[in-house]
Amino acid sequence: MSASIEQFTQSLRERMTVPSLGLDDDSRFAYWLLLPSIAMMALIHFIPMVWGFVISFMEVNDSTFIDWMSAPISPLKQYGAIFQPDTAVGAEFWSSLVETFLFAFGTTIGVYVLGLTTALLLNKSFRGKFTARTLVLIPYFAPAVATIYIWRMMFTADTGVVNELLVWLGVINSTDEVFWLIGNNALISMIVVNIWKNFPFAAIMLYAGLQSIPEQLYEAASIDGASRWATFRYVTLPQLKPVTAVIILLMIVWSFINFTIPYLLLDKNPENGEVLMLFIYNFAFQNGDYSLGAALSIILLVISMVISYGYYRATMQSSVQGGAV
Amino acid sequence: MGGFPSEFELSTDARDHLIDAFQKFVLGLILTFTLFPIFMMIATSLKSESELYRDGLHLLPSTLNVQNYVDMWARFDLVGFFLNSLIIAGTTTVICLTVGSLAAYAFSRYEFPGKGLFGLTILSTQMIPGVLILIPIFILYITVQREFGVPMINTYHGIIFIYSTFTVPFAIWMLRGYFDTIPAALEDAARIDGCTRLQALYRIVLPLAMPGIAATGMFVFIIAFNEVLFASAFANDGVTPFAIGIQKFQTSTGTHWTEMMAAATVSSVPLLLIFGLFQKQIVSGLTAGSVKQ
Amino acid sequence: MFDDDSSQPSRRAFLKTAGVTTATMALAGCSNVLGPSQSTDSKSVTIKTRHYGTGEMEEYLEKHTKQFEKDEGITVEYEIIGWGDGPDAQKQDMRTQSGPDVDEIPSSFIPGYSALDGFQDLNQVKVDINTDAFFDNPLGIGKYNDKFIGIPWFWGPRAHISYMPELEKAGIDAPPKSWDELVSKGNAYNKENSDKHLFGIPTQSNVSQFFADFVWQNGGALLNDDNSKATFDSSEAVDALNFYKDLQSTHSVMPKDTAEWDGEQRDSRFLNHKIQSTWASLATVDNFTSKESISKEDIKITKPPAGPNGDSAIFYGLELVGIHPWTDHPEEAAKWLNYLAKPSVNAEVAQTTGFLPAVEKSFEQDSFDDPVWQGFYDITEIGKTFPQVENWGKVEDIMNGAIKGVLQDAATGKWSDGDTKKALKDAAKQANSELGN
Repeated sequence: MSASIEQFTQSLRERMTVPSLGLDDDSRFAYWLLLPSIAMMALIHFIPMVWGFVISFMEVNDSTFIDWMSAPISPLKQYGAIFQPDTAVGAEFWSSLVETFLFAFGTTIGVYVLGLTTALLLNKSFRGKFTARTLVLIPYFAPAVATIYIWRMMFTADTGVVNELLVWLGVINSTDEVFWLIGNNALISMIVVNIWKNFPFAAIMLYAGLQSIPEQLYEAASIDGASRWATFRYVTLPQLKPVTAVIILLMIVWSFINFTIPYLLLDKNPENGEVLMLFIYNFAFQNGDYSLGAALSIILLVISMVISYGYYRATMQSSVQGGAV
Repeated sequence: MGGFPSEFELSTDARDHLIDAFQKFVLGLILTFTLFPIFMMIATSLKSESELYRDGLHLLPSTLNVQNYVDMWARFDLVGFFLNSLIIAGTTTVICLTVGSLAAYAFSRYEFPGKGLFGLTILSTQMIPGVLILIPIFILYITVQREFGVPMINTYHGIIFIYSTFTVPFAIWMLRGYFDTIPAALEDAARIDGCTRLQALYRIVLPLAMPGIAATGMFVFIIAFNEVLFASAFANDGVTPFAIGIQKFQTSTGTHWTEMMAAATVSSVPLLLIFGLFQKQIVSGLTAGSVKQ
Repeated sequence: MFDDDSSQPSRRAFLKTAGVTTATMALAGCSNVLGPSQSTDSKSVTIKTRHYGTGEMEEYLEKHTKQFEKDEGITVEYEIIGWGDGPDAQKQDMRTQSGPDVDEIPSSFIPGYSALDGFQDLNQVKVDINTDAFFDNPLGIGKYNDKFIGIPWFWGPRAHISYMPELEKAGIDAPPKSWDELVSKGNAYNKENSDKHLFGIPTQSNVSQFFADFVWQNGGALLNDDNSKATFDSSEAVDALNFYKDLQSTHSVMPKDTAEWDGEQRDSRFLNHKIQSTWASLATVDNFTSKESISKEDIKITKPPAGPNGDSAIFYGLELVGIHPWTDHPEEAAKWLNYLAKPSVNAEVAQTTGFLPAVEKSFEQDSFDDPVWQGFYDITEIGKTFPQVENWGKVEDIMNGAIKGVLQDAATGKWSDGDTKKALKDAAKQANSELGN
């Protein structure tokens, strides 16, 4: 495979000459290598994103869908509706936003704490370590749709195994079932499932990070007589900082735009736990109001950019100068 | 392996035993949390439809009902769904890794104007809500179909192009860290021996980077395998992937939960085998990539 | 999906030929990539028809496409779609103006599909369609914005379905006729049974339909007469929703768990005798009576109870069949529609789907001469359906949110006095802005 790609790239370079633009040879070579990925992202990410931005200032719906350029332009109709509490979208927007934040931060904290604990525990030698490491990865590999459905069955109030276990343990009475999929608990259930699904990712990344911490550092710490906790605090954690930054950033932004878990775990139009992605899909998208959906998405995008930029400034720039992961 | 070699000097034996036992206990709890839903999936797949709704706690099926594993094949073309998923996720992985490793290499080795901007661009793609770009991509594909006569919607190449692009930024990010760990001196030597820069990349760097590429490929494959939103819009008809196909067990007259879980169990086996077998390589790939500070 | 489903008729032989089928599937997928296959044979016409997988739809279409080909020499290929992804697939085809020639239309999607220009006016087709054959009520729904967009195919009112042996065990001899009776009989039932309930309807499926039932039964309406303003915040409607809520939280006539159920969970609880009556279509009865030891005589089909300010009323849904505007064979497609509307053919679809036939004459067939079918037939006179307005999807979502909020808050103990009124008032205000005022 690599030989043919090599030939292909080579022949492309021979046939097409790029104006030097005053760039040195290395830079031009770098641009060549970046070209395919930039072209793909331009087509699938950036042009559609700008397009979506434009649509958010228009009134594109099912009837103006194909010929979208002829749709009426009404610059602030969608954004106006979002920030007006009287409208359906305005009434739902703020609570949806709060739920989105809780979902993202709950998930991130849970994934990181559980992932780190798992990584630390796996980072010792014991019998069955290899098996344990494989088993921990299962939630990540098992088909997402089916596993989310199984959680949904487990959380069902009257027949779900979660309540049955609680009854069996004597925590609750068999007539006072706890609702996990509706009411305030819906959000908690979503977070639990998202943690379950994603903590293996954090665990394996952190495990790899632990494995790569030079042994000398621990030796030095022990010579200094550092306690277990001090070793962890002053050797392990700082060493894990780069990979931690990546995991936390990815978990935040991925949770903000997570669609699969809320969509499959809760009902089609949940009253509680309807995070923004789901609200956009259910209310704007399913009803053919694409401009409203685009406007809501733009807001979601801006929020998640601000948060990650803040986080990036605070952590990554200082610690991972010139290197990700 | 790694571990904390210092522990033994620091604590008494008794305390160590206690801590050790506590750690085993916590690991046991985590594994229970991890595996319980999987256990429920398998147990459900062996139950009969009526047993699902019986009162009280009964984790195990009263009688092993393997019929689900027979009936599920007749209801839908599960093999077809699964093959579609393999084709889509597999090709996505290959394209993504090819394109991504080129970019990651440039990103790792060269200083060029706009490097910082490129880094930010990659990061920002991870925040774009799918619903924002779904409709524009849809219109784009329709336009391509109409103007150029190339079918895009409900084709393998249509959905593969989308997935490849979605996963490329992540791949660049992961691979860049890995390339950083490979000493540039190797390529310099190769170039002195008369290799072009491309040859040096293909013959020296990529083979060395294989563990990192494999680890990245695993994540890419899983992302492509489990995606739902774009698959439901762009991959129907003959190219329906497993993630969409398995939802077809929900019919107008009810959901065949037990058969759905049987299908899920069966489909997990090949994935688990592959990733279980290659786990060592994957971990070592990730480890090397995260060495650098 | 044509690729999938054309292989389905042989699905029973699938196990044997799994390998071969898989290879064919892969090839079919590849030919997709190379471009749409063009039929070069100009003599025989092939049309494609698409339907939802209700009942044994596949067997039905297999049989009747063959018969139709014998009669008319027109080949019909069929495709079956599921309720989950079907509407999206249909909309997608309308956006691209491509796809099958003939399609099924669930009545609630009529305004949306019309906005997408998804179906052509059957009056413009050169083949005559005998509209007199259909029941008036469904025929009216098929005519939207002065266009005849689809022939009614089958329709299904919900009914109050009771499993009599359980009721009789608790000393209840007949299903309730009024809301008061529903409560008193529900309480009587609870006295005999601690962990079972008399009645249950799901909150997570079609909750706006159940809410509409209660509103109509109490003499209210969802929108005003010219569909320009929401009236589901009237005092009748507030009382209706409060009664609906109290059934589960105060009176315990329904289990609280209904706040979490979807239609399927409801069916399974009915099947397992956790609830003894519900509002559902014939499909639920079929499901129920297919269970051993339950005979059709044990089931009683009645009109739902009437509220204090009104008469019994209940929602009905309708399936229609229409022709897409992009078809190259409108006449052949219209002939297929006429074939589907033949009394005997229409009667058969009703039998297999468990709904009522839309063709009046179909109902004269002997097979409909039993108390369950006749019971449903009698219900049609009190059947009502949703207003047909363009933004209905959003209005229904808004209603759904308000109703679910009240029911689920009540179930989880968050509801307090005045919440119902406020929820419906807010929702009506939001709905009004969607309706254009």
